[in-house]
Amino acid sequence: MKNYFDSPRGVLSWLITTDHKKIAWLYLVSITFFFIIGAFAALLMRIELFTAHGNIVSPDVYNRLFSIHGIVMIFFFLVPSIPSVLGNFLLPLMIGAKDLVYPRLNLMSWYVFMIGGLFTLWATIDGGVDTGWTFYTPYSTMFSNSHVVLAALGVFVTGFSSIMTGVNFIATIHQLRHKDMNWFKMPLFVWAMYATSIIMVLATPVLATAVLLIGLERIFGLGIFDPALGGDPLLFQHIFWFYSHPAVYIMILPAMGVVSEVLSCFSRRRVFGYKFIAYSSLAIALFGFLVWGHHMFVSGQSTFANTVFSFLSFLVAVPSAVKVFSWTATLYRAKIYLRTPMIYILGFISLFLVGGLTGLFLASLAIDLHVHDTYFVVAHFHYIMVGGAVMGFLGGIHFWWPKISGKTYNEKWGRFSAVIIILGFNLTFFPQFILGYLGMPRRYHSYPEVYEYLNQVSTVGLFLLGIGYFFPIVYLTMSLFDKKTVGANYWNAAGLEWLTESPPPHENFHELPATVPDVYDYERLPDLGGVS
Amino acid sequence: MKNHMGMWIFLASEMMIFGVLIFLYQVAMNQNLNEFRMASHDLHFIHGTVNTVILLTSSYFVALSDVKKNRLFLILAMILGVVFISIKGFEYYDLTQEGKFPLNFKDLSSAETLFFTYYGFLTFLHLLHVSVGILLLGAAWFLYYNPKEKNLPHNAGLYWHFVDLVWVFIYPLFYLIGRNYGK
Ligand code: HEM
Ligand SMILES: [Cu+2]
Repeated sequence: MKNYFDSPRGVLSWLITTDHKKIAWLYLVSITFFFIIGAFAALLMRIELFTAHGNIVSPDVYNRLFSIHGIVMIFFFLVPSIPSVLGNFLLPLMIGAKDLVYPRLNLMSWYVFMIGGLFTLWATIDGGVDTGWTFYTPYSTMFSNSHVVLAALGVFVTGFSSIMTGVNFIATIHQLRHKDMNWFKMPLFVWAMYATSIIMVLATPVLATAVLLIGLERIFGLGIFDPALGGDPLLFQHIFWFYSHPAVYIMILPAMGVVSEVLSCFSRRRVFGYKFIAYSSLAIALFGFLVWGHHMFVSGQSTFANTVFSFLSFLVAVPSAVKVFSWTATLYRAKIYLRTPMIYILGFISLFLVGGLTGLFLASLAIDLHVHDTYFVVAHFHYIMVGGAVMGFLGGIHFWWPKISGKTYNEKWGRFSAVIIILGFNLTFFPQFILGYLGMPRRYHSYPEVYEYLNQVSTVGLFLLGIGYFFPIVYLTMSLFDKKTVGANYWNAAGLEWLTESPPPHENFHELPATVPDVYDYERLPDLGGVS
Repeated sequence: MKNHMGMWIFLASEMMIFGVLIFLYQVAMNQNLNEFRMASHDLHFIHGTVNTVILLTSSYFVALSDVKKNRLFLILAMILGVVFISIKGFEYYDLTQEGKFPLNFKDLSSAETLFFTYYGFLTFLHLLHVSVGILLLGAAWFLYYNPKEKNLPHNAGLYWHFVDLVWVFIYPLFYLIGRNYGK
């Protein structure tokens, strides 16, 4: 039987494919590439921060490094990671469709993504930008003499790829579900994709407008943000965070979707509180739009606004907490299989907990005034974004790898690198909470000597983390050349996607089952398969 | 209904673009209320009003073509779209001559600059949408009898109504705000 790799074959078949499974691969390869670029920038930064006196790179180069690190990691790695790779591959399989509703739009979104990426790469190679990934005005519009326009253009263009993906996913979920699949039979991963897509469609245009205005203001001297021409620089922060806070959920919600699937499979339990988890995704998507002001507590907005935003930020924590409670309840007294995907997912839950709780610290006005723009913030968002979203992504890739590739990886290497990543991660970022609390500001390339020890711990941690990331890239790639293939349902899992062969045929299913299985019916399934 | 959903979602996304710009403009207007009202007098009230009528009429034609199943109405709508663009062109030209169009500002106060910046940016973005709309209507006209293309005419229509709707916001916010505040 032919699988999607073979029908049709050849390089061209990849570049003009409209098969969602191949497009997922295009994204996987591209975001891995971008991740490596972002990681190199991080490496240089941490090497620079190894000693208190900046002496490897100049302050200016350091600024360019953290800007490109932030821009690439957010817009070119994390935002597209789970939706465009796992979402693209799995969404149609999970709902029993042949493809997305708009297959050509899907391919186009990858090209648009790559064009945006090329602009950003160009900007990087040609000297970089020094505004930070936030492009704050008036610095970005009037003072910076780096490639603001090119980088902004890159972000602007990529935004459209995100919007296209969102449009495609929402319409697909509405229109191509298996006849027997009503909303409450959908896997929670699909719910998560749905909520994420809503954010992509509604928030991304706002970001696109913001960076477009930056570009125009810089080139043509328009005065929307420039006080000298009557404009207001704070407005930029408002519209920027109106996107960028919800964008945090673009990064974390999909990972939460992965968690529910993996957790249920590796504890052989029905996820507890299915409807709560489903609704909480939507709640997060909607509340996420109301809290942007917590990034602006010290920007000079009114005390009243600060108080409201602080309060709302506590509210948006509620649906996240609901999810964590449901997962904990699922695990309670379950028989847990500590396979690679599960280790990542347990890592997700604990790191997300730390990140989330410290987020509440930051949402409290009084504490934020103390730790604002210190390493405390850096640690917080890395716990959420790297500890949360990247762990979710890796967990998902490992879980569905047998389905995607028809091959399996070496479980020992898998577990080993998952553990290294979790250790390395904590070693890198935990010291940064302390550093921040002690008062070390972010975005500086040198610092007082008292902070040196903790910074060195952090840098050592990064090397460990780097090694941890390196392994999966190697053993997953190698597994592709294995002769041995796996059966349809490697983990004896319950979702619809496991009913077709691995890797699936071009049209996903040779024959659709008349009714869809109950996605979390693990009590009645045979035990976990795979290697032990 | 099948394939109109994508268009609706896309339009929601478009709405956020214009929404945020109109929001920014309103904030700026609040901070410079009197100056903006005064500056509003410098726009061509007649041009704006005629354009509003034109766009509304064209939207009506698009709807008619859907109801009466007649593609000739699409042509009428497209012609009106072109007229809209031409009138805007005259308006831009005049404003440029007066030094009131972005990239060519001459001795304006900062509030006036801001007003005309927003005017230039928002109307230009809208104009781009009008042009895309005309192309879509053209494609719809072309493929009208193609049985495989059931969706395009309707989607082009939706898009055109959206472009019209946006103008209905732009018109009062720029052309009318100064009406009752004499110059
Ligand atoms: C892999 C290990 C990583 C390390 C060691 C690392 C390290 C750093 C460092 C040293 C900074 C500069 C902090 C400052 O001075 O403000 C930074 C900033 C940042 N990082 Fe990472 N990072 C890593 C991964 C990631 C990932 C995966 C993401 C997102 C997906 C990310 C997103 C960001 C962002 C958004 C900033 C803020 C940039 C800015 O200040 O403009 N990082 N990171
Ligand atoms: Cu936020």
